[in-house]
Amino acid sequence: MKRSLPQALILDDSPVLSLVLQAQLEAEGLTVRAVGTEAELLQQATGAAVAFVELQLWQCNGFRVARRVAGMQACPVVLISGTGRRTDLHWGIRAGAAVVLTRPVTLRQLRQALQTLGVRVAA
Amino acid sequence: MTQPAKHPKTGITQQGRSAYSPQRALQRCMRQLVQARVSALACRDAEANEEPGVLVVRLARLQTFLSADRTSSGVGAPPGRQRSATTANAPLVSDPLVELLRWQIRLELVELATEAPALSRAAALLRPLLQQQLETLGRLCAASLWTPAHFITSGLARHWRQAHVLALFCPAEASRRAIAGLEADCLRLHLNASLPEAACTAGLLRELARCVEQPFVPPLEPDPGVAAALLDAELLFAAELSRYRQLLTPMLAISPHEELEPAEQLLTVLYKLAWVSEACRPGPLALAWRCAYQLCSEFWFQHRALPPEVNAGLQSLLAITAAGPAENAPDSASQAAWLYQTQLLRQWPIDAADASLPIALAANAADAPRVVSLEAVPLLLSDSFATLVEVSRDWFAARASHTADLTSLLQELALLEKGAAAVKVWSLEHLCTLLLNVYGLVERDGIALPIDLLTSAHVDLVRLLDQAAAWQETSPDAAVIDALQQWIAGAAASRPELTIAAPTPAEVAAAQLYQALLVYVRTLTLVAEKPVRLHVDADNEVLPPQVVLQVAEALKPLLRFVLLDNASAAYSRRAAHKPLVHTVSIHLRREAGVLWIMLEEDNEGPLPTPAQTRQLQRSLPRTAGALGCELHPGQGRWFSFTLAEVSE
Repeated sequence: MKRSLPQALILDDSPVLSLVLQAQLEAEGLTVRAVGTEAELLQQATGAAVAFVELQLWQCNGFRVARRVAGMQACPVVLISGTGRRTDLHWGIRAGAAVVLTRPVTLRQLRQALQTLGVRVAA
Repeated sequence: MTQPAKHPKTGITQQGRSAYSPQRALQRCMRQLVQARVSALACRDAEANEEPGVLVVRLARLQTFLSADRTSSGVGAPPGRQRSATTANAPLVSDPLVELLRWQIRLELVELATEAPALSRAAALLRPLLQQQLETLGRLCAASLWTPAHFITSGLARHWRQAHVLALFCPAEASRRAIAGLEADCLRLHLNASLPEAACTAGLLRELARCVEQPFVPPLEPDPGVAAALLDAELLFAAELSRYRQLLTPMLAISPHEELEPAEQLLTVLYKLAWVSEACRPGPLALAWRCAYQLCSEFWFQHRALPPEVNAGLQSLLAITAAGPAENAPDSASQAAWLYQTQLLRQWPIDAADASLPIALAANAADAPRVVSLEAVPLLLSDSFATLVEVSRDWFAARASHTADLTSLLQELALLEKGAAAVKVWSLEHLCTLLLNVYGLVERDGIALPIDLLTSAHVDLVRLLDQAAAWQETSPDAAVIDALQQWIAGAAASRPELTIAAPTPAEVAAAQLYQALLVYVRTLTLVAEKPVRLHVDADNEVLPPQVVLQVAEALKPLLRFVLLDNASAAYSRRAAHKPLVHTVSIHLRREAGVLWIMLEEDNEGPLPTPAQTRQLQRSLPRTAGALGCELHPGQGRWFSFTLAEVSE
């Protein structure tokens, strides 16, 4: 059976945070796939509706990932930052992120981000 | 045509088995979930059945059906034991999709539980269900054999889980705690190797009966801790915590009087601990980890070692977190975390709050460095390097000969070099210095730009900027540094008679106007939160400084209109396939005593309305000619006017 492409991708090297976000997005009606590495994300970004990327990653950082995904023009990137610094917003947008969310991410914030990006969720 | 294989014992074909597959059962669950939502929406306007209450009841029932009791059949059950989904028997949770579905339902419950109106309605609707569960538990306990196997087979495990879920909607925290405590006691009595004493079992039954009879108190404020109780992530949390503990322990294992050097790995561990704790155990502990992260970040940023007290505090916080909720009563854990947080605040570097870093923000305008606060660092990074960020992507390929862009690039490089030196990011400063040397040699010696080398160097520079913005250790590419150094050495050796060319009058005029507008544009950029690249060029007529200032004042209202226009928002630019950085170009030309000024921007927003045009016209100097506004599809908007024989 042909499988449909995931609607949302998550890159977060914390299993707990990744799972929480995945559940939140699924509650919003999205199909979600969590990826483990930047390369995996870049590979699957084309065709995805949106990619959620954690800013603080062990091997790289979310700015770089957002820049590369934006360079490919594959899908909009939502950066998630827990530092609360102003740099994250400014530099994140400059890096190509469509939205920068600050932890803790609420369902309302997620909904607004998805609406901003025009991501249509399943009924 | 081959016949489907039959099972040797049951005689059921593979096709027959597929009808009872976990996927089918999961689909059934999903159908129920959808039906629950549909029926809840249908009841939206009905007074008797308000949406949250109905949804909560249905979700709670579905949740109990999906509870993790492996003894019951359900999803994944063998064919002969398939039952209705409405029964209380639970499915296996070996399928990760089932687990995810449970998560989804629990999160929906969390959301509903944290809404005060929904909480009261849900509590009213769920109260009979909970009392029913507790009565069942009382009967099962009374008839229990007090063995681990009986705990499973009698359905005690399943009913406790259902009671646990229903108790989450108890308005009274005491009731929730009582039920959780009773569940733990019941499990402990069943796990004992020998039969428990009669007094213990009687005590449990008595408490259970009291819990059933206990009236529910009116709803209180929604408890954020419900989220932690709902999230079934303890196993994941424990695994992740163990990993971070392994990383953190050797870092903190130094002598008590030694100072701990904050490193990037330490910061990352603290960051992860803060947010993983927030997700699984929100409250004082998570707050204390966040505080620890902030504190260590400040020390790291200022290149200062952590005092021994902070090290001790981190160790104690790690011990509290690792001990888990079972060993620490909530109150004592909270108190410990708050105490630790207070200690952390005492350790906060006093001079960090108003620390001043000499960053040469105004390096281009005047070489005297201004003293700015820590807040300037984010501003410096986010507002000053539009050209630098874009240059590695497409600038070299398309516009390598554009000398005006090279001017702004060099300005940004020089600013970045000074800023990096001020915040002691030496690798970034070194790379900027090398690039400035390369561009200097190219400009002064007239040799061709080493495109490949510069492209790789700028890619590396942007990578370093990303690392600096994320407060990570910058790690330059050694191969790029070596190549730049070799190129500089070769170019310098081949032309020892190198002379420095004086800037042309046009370059001087353009630079003066750029400087006059830079602060204003930066302010607008901050307000609009849009990256903007300002570009100025002038013809070879000499423009006196006072004329340049007059032009700058005349341009400010136009710049304000252009930059604060909603059409330049990131999403509209992305939709129009434009670069994210908004480019505004200003061209100056002087002909027969008349200065012709054009402002060109790459947005395709609407032209100003007649009223806006009149207002813009009024804001121009008296000597200015009519303001022309044009829209060039595919290119952007152009605004032009003239200044007649300005006074010099």
